[in-house]
Amino acid sequence: MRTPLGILSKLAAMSRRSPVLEEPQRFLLLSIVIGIFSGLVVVCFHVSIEYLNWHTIHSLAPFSDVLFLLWPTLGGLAAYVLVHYVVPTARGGGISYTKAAVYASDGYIPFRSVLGKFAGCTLSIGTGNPMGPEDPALQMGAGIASLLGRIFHLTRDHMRRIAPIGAAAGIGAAFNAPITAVLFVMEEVIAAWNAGVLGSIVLSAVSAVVVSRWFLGDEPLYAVPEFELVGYSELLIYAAVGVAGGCLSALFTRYTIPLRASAQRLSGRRKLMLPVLAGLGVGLAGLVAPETMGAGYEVIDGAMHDRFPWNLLLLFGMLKLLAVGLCFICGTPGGLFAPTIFVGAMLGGGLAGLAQLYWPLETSSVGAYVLVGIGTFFAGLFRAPMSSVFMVFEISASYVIILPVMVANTFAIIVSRHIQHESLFEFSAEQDGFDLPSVEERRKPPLMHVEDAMRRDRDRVVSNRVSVSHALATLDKLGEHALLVEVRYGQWRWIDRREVERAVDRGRGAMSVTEGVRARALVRTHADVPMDQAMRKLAVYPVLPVASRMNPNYMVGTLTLDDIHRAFGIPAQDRPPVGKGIARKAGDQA
Amino acid sequence: MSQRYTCMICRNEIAHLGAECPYCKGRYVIAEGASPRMLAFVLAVMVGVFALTGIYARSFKAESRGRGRLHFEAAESKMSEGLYDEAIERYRDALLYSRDDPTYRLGLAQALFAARRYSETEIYLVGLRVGDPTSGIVNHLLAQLAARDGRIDEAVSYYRNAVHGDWRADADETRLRLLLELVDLLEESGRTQLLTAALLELTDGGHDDPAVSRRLASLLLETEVYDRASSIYASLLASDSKDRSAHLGRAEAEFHLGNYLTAQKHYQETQRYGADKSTEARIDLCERIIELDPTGRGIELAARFDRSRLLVERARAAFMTCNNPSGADLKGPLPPNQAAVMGRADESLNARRPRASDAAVESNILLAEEFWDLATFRCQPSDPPDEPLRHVLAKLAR
Repeated sequence: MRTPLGILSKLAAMSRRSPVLEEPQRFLLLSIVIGIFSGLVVVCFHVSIEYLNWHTIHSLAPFSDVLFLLWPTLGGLAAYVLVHYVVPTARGGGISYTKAAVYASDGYIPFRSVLGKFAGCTLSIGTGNPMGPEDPALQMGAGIASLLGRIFHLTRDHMRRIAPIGAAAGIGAAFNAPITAVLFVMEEVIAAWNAGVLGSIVLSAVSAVVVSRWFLGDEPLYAVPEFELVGYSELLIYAAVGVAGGCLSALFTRYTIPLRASAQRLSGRRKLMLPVLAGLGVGLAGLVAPETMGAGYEVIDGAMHDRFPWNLLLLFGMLKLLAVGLCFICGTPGGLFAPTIFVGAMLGGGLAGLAQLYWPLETSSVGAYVLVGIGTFFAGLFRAPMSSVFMVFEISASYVIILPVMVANTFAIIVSRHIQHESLFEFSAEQDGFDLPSVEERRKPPLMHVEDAMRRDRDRVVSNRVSVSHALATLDKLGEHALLVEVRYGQWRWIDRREVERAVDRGRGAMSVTEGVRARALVRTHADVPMDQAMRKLAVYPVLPVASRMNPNYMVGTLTLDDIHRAFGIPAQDRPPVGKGIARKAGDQA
Repeated sequence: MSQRYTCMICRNEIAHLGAECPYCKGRYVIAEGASPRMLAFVLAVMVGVFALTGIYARSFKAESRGRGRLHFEAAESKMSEGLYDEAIERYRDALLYSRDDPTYRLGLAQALFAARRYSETEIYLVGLRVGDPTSGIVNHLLAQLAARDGRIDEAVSYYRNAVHGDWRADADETRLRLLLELVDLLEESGRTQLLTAALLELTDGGHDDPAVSRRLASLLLETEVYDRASSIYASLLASDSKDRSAHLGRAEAEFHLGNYLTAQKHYQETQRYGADKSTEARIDLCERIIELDPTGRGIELAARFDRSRLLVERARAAFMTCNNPSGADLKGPLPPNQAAVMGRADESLNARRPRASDAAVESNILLAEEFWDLATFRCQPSDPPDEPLRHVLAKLAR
């Protein structure tokens, strides 16, 4: 009978023999670990904010006006000092820092920024400042991922990819919505549909949400009313909600960015007045409407169920917008994710109330407009159409809502872009000292393909029956250094100009090209192949046949380095001499 | 996992960290893979953070629950005072602290229902039902909402779930009340079959409230479940023999069951405790039926025979009345099957010396039934029916 020690030693021996995980598998496993860690940190973050909230603004019953003004001011000031003087890497937007990790610092995010963000945003949001916990959670997740990546000695390539994985985990756990988290990171942080990293992002986001639900429960943030589209004419009202959201978001960007820049230029102790100013503004807004303080999820829930009249909804939305703008300008730590949702929802609800008064046809309930409105301000500000649509879809779990949400969000983005071309994050990243590629830049296809440069005629191809003199005449006519010879249908070889000339000099001009000159084997390429791959082949062969994928024996064109230069717009006199060196190298290899 | 060092430029393997790459002479070298010790360390940290988060979240939830409980108690107090709007706000506050507490959600749903905010009520109830599909109260509220919106089938389904669902206190009484609500709903919406099923379920349930029994028996009478109605009335009479309405109900039930003697007896009792003309007419009808009925107990063969002949005679008269009110000879235009029946009737009724026998009685009854069938086939709704004959033949057919 085996002893436990024996079994353990047996298991250890088995583990030594087991195959070592490959890098991609390790990366996937690490994604889950990142998700779990991020989920745990976000749970602690959420709990800390709530604790602070209970013991500050929610402990005041009946509310004391002075304390109502004081708590956001004190909290904002403490948070500001912490992130600006103690942990400067924790200031600024979480999304900008995560993008910087992807594009500038090989995935490096200092871990102290996670700690700074945690403490700073807890102080800020917990004392009633109207910011959201999602963006800080995103940065914390990215920071944790970066730390784990360094611990596990990932390659530079994987290190660059790891920050978005942590970011998805952080935002997923904070917003309790994994699909939105994945799409938001793909759209806003990576800005490209990268299949290589998608699986890891999904894994980490789901793991984080599972952990978050494990500790905090899986009840949704909102009790969502059943959505119903009363008539297609209602889409006009939804479009109006989108237009309003787009206008507001563009104006928010246009007016807050210069003021933020001015605020950042303040020096010394004057800067310390900024969070005080923001805190007092938030406190004043809270005195008028306490609903504008904190993230405001419960207010959105109330708005969905007609708890507030339309004019009050518009008031909440405007006050929140002012308070958030003030905090953003003054650098109070916190995110914009939750406030944008709040403002959009209030805007939708308010306009629904107006529509019910003045629209001649039947309309849906205010709750439906609140739900659709959620994504409009968000879409206009973040310029993330997919995540804005799926966010509402994930919250409402209704298929019917897709059409109105798409209409409203599309209008929001179009209007916002029309009024203000650059997005808020492009400006704020610049102000934070990063020169990051814009979303548009990243969305452009990074590579040219063979089809963008190839010649679509068969001028560079001669039959194997033509004479050597004819081949030389063709080379002279085209000004090329190599030609393709079709030795049989679908089989091509190449000949070098110098060898053709030498053969003519030796009196072999009347012989057929395959008899008079050595025709060498080559490889083929395809029209959809990226240019860099084709260029590697052109480093060896002076000319490539471009074969059809439908019929590999059919040539759709030819490609030379000269074609590529032409495609890139390099003038002929600046081009390196084509063919000679390459032809020699290829000839040597052959 | 063994530690491996790779050149970041040419991806070739390097001897150790910091060494110059022999292939590309680069110095940007990173280590690939983590030592098992580091892996174990990370896992240990994860377990530690998990445990700490658990403790932190637990203390948070405990305090959260405490705060939620305070608001919940305030909400319950407002609810009992009938201040539904204030109760709703307190329930919402309670839910802010304990979002996943089904008791608070149910409280809020009940308050919303009481405040007539039906659409929001339904959202909470549907969510609660997902968590506990057998909850009696949740199903009951959903049933009431569905009934209010005219979704009768859905309401019936919810009522059924509520009846068979979980109830913390007074389960039997609540179930009875729900069944009666369901019966009311079905009666209002005219779903007879479902109503009958619900009534039978109620009858089987067993209860001792006379008012409920009376209502139940009355509904059973309406839905033509006479035997159950009769037995309920009988039990009511057993506890109070002077109950006029029970006598009347029993009489009606027995009348429809064809027990005319019993029915007549209870009509007479009804008349004794409060005379009225309709009951008197019913007594008279019973009398006429009993006199005509050839299958009554204790009647001699000759009398039975006579009554059977009388049946044939009255059935033929009814047939003739319906076919030809002017009284002309019907043999000519009659179809062969009717003519045959008529012939047999003539033969039976015009026999010189008719012999009383069980077979003759049976034959006459069959003949009367055939005539009655032909008569009812030919009769217009406006034709005056021979009511005693109809009842006797209906009883015989049963």
